[in-house]
Amino acid sequence: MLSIFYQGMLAFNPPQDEIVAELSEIKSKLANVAADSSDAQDLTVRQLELRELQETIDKSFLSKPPAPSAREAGIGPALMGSIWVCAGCTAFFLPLGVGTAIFLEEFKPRNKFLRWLSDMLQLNINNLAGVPSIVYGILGMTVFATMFGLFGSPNEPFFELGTKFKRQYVTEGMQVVFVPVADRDETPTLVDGMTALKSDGSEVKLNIIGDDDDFPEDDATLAVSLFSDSDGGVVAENAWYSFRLPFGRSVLAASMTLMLVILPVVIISTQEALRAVPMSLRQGAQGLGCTPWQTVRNVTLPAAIPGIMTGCILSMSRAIGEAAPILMISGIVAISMGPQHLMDDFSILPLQIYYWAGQPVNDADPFNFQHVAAGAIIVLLLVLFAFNSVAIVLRQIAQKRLS
Amino acid sequence: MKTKMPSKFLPSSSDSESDQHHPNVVSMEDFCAWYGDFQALHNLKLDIPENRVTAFIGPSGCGKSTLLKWINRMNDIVPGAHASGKLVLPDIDILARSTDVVALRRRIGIVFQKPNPFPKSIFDNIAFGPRLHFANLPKSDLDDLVEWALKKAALWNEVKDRLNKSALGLSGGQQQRLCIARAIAVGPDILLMDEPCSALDPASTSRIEDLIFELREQYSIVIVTHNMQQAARCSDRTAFFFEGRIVEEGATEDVFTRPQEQQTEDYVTGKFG
Amino acid sequence: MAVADTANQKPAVLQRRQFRSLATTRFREWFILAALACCTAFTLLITVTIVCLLVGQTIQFFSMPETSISDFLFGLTWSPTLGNEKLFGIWPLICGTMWVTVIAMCVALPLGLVTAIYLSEYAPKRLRNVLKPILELLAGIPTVVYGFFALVVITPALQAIGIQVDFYNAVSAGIAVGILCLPTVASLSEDALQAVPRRLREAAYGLGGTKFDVSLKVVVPAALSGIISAFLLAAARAIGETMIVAMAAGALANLTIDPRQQIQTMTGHMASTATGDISNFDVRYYSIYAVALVLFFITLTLTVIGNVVRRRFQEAYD
Repeated sequence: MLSIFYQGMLAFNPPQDEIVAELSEIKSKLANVAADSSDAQDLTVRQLELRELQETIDKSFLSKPPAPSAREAGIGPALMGSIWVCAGCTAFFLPLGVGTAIFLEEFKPRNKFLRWLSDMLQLNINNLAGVPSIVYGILGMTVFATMFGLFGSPNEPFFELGTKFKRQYVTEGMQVVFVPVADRDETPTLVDGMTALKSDGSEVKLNIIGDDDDFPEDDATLAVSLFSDSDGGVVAENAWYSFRLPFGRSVLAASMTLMLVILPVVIISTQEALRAVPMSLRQGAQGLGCTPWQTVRNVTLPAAIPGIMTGCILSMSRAIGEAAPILMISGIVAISMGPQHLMDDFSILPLQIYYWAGQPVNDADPFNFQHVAAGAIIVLLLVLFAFNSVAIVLRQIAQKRLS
Repeated sequence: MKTKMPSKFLPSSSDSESDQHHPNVVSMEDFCAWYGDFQALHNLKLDIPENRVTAFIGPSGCGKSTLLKWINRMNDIVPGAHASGKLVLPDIDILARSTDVVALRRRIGIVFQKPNPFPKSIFDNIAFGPRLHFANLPKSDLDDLVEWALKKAALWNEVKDRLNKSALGLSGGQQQRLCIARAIAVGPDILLMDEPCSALDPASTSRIEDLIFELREQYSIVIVTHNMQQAARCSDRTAFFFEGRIVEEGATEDVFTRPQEQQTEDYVTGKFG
Repeated sequence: MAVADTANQKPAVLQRRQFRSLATTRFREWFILAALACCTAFTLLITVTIVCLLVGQTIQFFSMPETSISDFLFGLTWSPTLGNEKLFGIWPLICGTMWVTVIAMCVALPLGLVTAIYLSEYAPKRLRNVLKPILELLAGIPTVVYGFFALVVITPALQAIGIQVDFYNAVSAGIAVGILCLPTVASLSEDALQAVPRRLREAAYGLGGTKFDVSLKVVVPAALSGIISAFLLAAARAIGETMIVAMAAGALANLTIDPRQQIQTMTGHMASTATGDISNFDVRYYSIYAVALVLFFITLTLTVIGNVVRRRFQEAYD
């Protein structure tokens, strides 16, 4: 355990001895060669490269995106993804779980058949808690991500909202320009003088080179020149409210799947919290003429809130650490940014750890992906520790309140 | 909503002269109650007079609490509990399916064995019922109501400076008086009390008994107790329950000093129970 | 008893007697009840969907030309990818799962039981208050962390003490799963031991039993069905565990009696097959549903028995 901790601490400050050594070597070499020789130029280029690399490495482990080299890799997008998925999952399980628990605990039926039914529902929930999370992953994959294939594939969705498409072209002057299109299949006809967007959003007039036209000479024209038959790739741009059916490998599909995993746990812990509220309080409220729901709303629920919150926070911490169902939905995705909207691709911390832990290890290298994985584990455990501490404090409040 | 009591409601079986002026607020006939297959009450016949204290006494498990809880249908939530026969207010059939328990409980308040203040402030405890029931409730009226209820329950002087403090900080006796004030604040006609002093020390008990005596000016009170001295001290009429039946019922003095039945005599003289 | 004169005058609100509309209250009540009932119905819907989905897709799987039910249930080779001949015999996967579960239970059961007995019978109250949250914290550690632990700590440690294990192997995965299940076994067993009435202990002490006698000969037997249910629920958890085996047990479906080799479990197969490649509807893709159905059936049986035993046990001492 300690070795994991030690390895992990390295990830926050990856060793750069080799780079530093090479830099000082270059420096001494530079002093010895003539300033305008080709050697000096090569060395300066290498120096700049190394400095850039150093800058990347020096960026915080918490915000760097994952990278093919261990020293440059970070957990930024994965951490954001975990936060998004956990928040989304909470938004679903909180109303559903608390609602179910209240129904089963506070609206106990008197009718014999209904009582049998509610017993069965309770048994069902207890058994759902024992279903392996990967089975929920399969359920989520089929129901949320692909929707049984009924609505086309996630790449060719049946329904889309808030998504704009652009064709991306590279001009003869190596400039990237975008031409907005109506849907993903449309190929725009390129006309001389039409407007296109640059990456920064500013508009430019395109110069289209037809078969008979001359190839332009000056750089300014080249930068906006395209051949009339050039082909561009489709780029999708999603608004914050974008939505599609099926959900695909999205944050939403993952949140809903995790909700399925966590729901039984939340229901059971909320029921326990409600059961801890003394019966005499409920009787008092009913004696004053409260309906069952008024009793719950005004008396039982307020008294049970700390207990319910304890259960919910513990469930959230379980949701953050859960990897198997998400693995079924999204697999290993290499992305450079955290999710921007509910339909975005994402990665989460546990999956990032899983991926890094499976990378080949080169024993000769003092810093490899195992160190990065250990670093991510430390972050994950710190988050869980924070969650658990809050839960323990809340539990104490709950016990004090009800005693 | 408020009902006019029929002025000529004939008291059926009361033989005491003083009760002639007190019409019945609750009357029952042939009333039976069950928990599942177990019959807890057998063919009860009883009238509860207005503005009087009626005590139910008897050994534990004799059904006195069951009857009390049926009067405002607290048994509704108990699985398997059902009842038959006649149990009526002058204008409402308590057992009828169409009777709304919320409307019923506005008229019939209940105080439990163990004080059960809500974990809220003293003020909010009293204001709880009014906020629930009254449509037009300006803040000043609510303040008046809370003050009135606390004065009625003889608690005002002790708590007027800390109305916003938690009710759980009060002593047991104060908590029970708070519960009485809470019940009164809804404006009921009838107060049911289920062994209200059994969890209290003698000093608090005596204060509550005094209070019950005061309150009967305006409320019809039914009190369940296993403490015979208490019944003798603060009730006008007494019903003695045994194994789900009313063995004897009448003016308290008669029941305690001139019991008609052997069982009653054995019980009040302490031979069993 | 200072009731002022004004106190006999009922306050304005009580004189007005303007009540809120009962119809509105009742309607809101009905509406909320319906909403809550829908929430509850959703849990039932989950179960129904799981069963229908798994059964339906499994039928699809068996309707493919490469597969047959008898091969699946009795075949001894699982090679969904190799060459032209794809074989779907479930036994190698079950064998892998069994190895991991058996090893995990060998670790979790004795340790968990000893922990539970210590916590319930021996530990002073203060120590208990410290140990229980630690146990819970242990239960909250994500499974990928245990998987990593198995890879970088357990396997090298086994190799260091002279056990010739492969880099990926069933033993270290099993040990890690065992550590994962330990809190479950410990806390459920501890609940069971705590549920044994004091009078039983008092009677045993009264007959002159030592603490050891009382715990082992009276309390543990009395709580046996509770402990068995803890064991069943933990075993269900071990069978369904995915990340640890995916990381540390390897990916070679192997009908072996040697747990030092790499194996593949049912969950491991699902994880390695469906890693996000959800647009490819071939026979291999459908095989995960058939495997999931078997897995679901096994864990559900264990959980149902475990829950029924637990309920019986609780009722016995209520």
